[in-house]
Amino acid sequence: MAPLGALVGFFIPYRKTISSFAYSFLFSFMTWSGAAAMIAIPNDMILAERVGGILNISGTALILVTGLVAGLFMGLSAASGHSFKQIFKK
Amino acid sequence: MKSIKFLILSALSLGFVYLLSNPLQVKDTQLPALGNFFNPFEGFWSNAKTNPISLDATTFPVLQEDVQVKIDVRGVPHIFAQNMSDAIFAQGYLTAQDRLWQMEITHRSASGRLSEIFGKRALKSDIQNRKIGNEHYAIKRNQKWNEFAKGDEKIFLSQYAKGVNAYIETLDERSLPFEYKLFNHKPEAFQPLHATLIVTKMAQRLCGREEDLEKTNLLAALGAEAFDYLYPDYNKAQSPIVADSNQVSYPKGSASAEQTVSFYDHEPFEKPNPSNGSNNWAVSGDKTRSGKPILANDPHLGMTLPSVWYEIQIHTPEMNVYGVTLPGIPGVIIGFNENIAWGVTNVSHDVTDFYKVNWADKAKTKYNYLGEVKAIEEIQDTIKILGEEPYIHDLKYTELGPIVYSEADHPEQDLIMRWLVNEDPTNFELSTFIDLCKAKNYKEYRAALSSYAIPAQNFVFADNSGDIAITVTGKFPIKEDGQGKFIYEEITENNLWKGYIPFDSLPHSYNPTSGFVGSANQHSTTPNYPYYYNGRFDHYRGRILHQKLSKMNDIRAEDMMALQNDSESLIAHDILPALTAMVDEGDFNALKKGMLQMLRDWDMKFDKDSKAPILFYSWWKNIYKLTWDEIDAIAENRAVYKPGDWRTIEMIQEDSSSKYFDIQETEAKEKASDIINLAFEKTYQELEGRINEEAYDWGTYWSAQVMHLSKVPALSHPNVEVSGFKYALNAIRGSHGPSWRMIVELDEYPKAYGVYPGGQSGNPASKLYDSNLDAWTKGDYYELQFMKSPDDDRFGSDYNTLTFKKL
Repeated sequence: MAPLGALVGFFIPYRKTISSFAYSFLFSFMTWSGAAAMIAIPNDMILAERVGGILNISGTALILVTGLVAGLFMGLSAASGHSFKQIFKK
Repeated sequence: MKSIKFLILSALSLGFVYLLSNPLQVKDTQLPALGNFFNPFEGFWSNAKTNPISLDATTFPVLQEDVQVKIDVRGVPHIFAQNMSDAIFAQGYLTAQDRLWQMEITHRSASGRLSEIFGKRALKSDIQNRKIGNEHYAIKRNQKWNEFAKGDEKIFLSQYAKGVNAYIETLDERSLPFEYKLFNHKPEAFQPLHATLIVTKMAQRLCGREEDLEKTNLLAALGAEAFDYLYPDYNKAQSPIVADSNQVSYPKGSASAEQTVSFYDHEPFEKPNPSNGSNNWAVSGDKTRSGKPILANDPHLGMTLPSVWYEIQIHTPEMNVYGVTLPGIPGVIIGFNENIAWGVTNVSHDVTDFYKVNWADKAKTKYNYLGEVKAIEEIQDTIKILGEEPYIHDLKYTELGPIVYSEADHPEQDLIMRWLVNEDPTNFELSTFIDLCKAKNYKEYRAALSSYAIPAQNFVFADNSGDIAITVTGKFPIKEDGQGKFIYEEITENNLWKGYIPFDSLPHSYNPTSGFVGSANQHSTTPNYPYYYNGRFDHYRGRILHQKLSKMNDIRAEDMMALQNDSESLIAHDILPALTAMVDEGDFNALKKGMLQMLRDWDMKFDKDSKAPILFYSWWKNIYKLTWDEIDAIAENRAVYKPGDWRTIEMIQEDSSSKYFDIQETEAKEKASDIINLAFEKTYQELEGRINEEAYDWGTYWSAQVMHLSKVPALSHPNVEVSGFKYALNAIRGSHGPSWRMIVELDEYPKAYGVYPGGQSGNPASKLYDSNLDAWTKGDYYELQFMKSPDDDRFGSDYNTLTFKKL
């Protein structure tokens, strides 16, 4: 997935690297936390609260952390790809 | 500049990739690869998907006929099969579907293969289980079972394993059970050997406890007379399981001068919990409202999540049985069918002996055995440890068993352990349970028990023709008086077991005039039973059980439920009046007087809303500790244990000036009454701050702990407030207690009730993970859906239907 993120960052022509990071982050964050929420809510947050408890956070926080994991991952990959391209721009 | 930005970002990026793709070591736990774990499409989230279980159109080539399964609202599978082989396959599959990880961890625990999963913190337990040789002997046991199995028995274990493996085959990354993802491992294929290991594990829990090392050290420290005085084999206040014995009594003194008197420096193995035990009883139609017997059983084991037990019903043309099973082992262990009901409690006899090794050479490769020199069987053993180098050690086996304690610099203290469970089986030891599932009457119950071996259990019985019975069942080595309590200095013909007690000579009771039978891990018999035994027995639950049952009449199921939940204890009845009488209230302040009055007013029940039990428990603990300072002194250098609560109480009542009540470190010569007052003062100091807090009661103080097998608190239910006490019928003690409660009303067709502190599903995402816990905590029961056919709608129609299709 990381190379994919890098390619996205490389090819999508945002002006600033930070935008590349931000949009990638946002998109990935929403995908993963959205998917997690779609599972957690019909489950009445049973598993979310339990796994959250292992990390000492709430079930809702766990959904957000899930999004954060994806967001940071893809955001950083995209930013790397984008900044790589920036090296060649003049 | 831009290159630097790129380098930093790509370094961060790659760092993050690495972090998320590999397991993380955090202090001494290992977290799985977080990227995979958090992935909602494949990680732990997918265990929360609420898809109904289905088999789609899968066909199972091993089946002879289709198997129809109805799963009820509590997740109990009701299996309707056309033959035993198909039924057992389905049992394996369905149990694995709910409890696969539990099965694997259980057999790994027996083998000593937990360090591979959990890391160094499991190493001590693994080393111990390798030394005892559980896997070594399980392999032999499995071979022997294959030789002895006949008829249905031959396919029993292999069909179950096929069922489990058929389930494992359906798993992919996404559908892997939760704990496999959390602890980052994949399921192992299930083998009959694993079932054998699970039997070994249960045997270890129930007849693996011994205190020979400690007793030997005590004998060496105290001498024979003092030892017999403090640690007698029998309690005259006892109400044994089977009282009648027509034999002549044998002398009670047993620490003879021939016994060893050396000290041993070894740190003893971790022992199974002494609270592992149970209650069971049956009352005849003479005492019940219905005129038919009622049977009750509540086994006391670790209260874990998932639960030790798994409920199931199995219906084939030759049997219709309902009960609880042990995940990993086919068949029903405690339950009932259309005609009979049965239950078990632990017998608790000592079936382990230790012998000093008499080395024949300095290199410790040969030992002396009855005049011959024999070679040690030596095996190099490796224990894999997660994230570390493996642990390598040598295992040594002798004719009698493994050498479990050995110190390089003290070869004279090396010890062989002879454990009954490590002896070669003489039959297919699971046949008892298959036979009970099919049994229709007393005669067939006795026939089923005649082949039972380990771990020894008190099997209670009732049937719908009106019979009740109890049999102390298992293989019991024949020993002379006093034998087997201490470490043997040498191996002689006389020190070896002289065979096993014949089945017909085992204590048993059939339709006694009292109208009831019952056991709670107390002594099997009075001392005039013709065969010697010793062990660690209950002194309170058996007595109150017999007392209460003898007074009860017009009994209904509800009365039996109340009895299982009874929190009254005879320990309070035995000693509290004497204690309160001996207190010198002279200069007591108001709070102290209040505490004393609370105790005087107490109904001797360990109820969760009561405060008096806290006072009693704390006071007794302090009395006990102050009394046994002499033993504590020995304990500083050697493994020992203190005399029983029951014996301490007996001494207060009969020998209150005994030298043991003198506190060594004080000048004064204390007596029992002094200790009692000192202890009360200590209790006052401990509790004065909290005792009058509204919410501070026995439920807060003595809560139950229902923990996940890994002990992770977030997956567990710690601090459940309940009534109960280790010395009451409702024998809750920390993480031990009634792991299943069952009441069966025998009749044309039986009616039964049950509950356990957990749920059918091992999936922490499932509502069925802990769905019965609430009811269990309140002392409530569910009616067990003992279906007559797949279309039986007497319990409603809320079932999930699964069909295992043949090819």
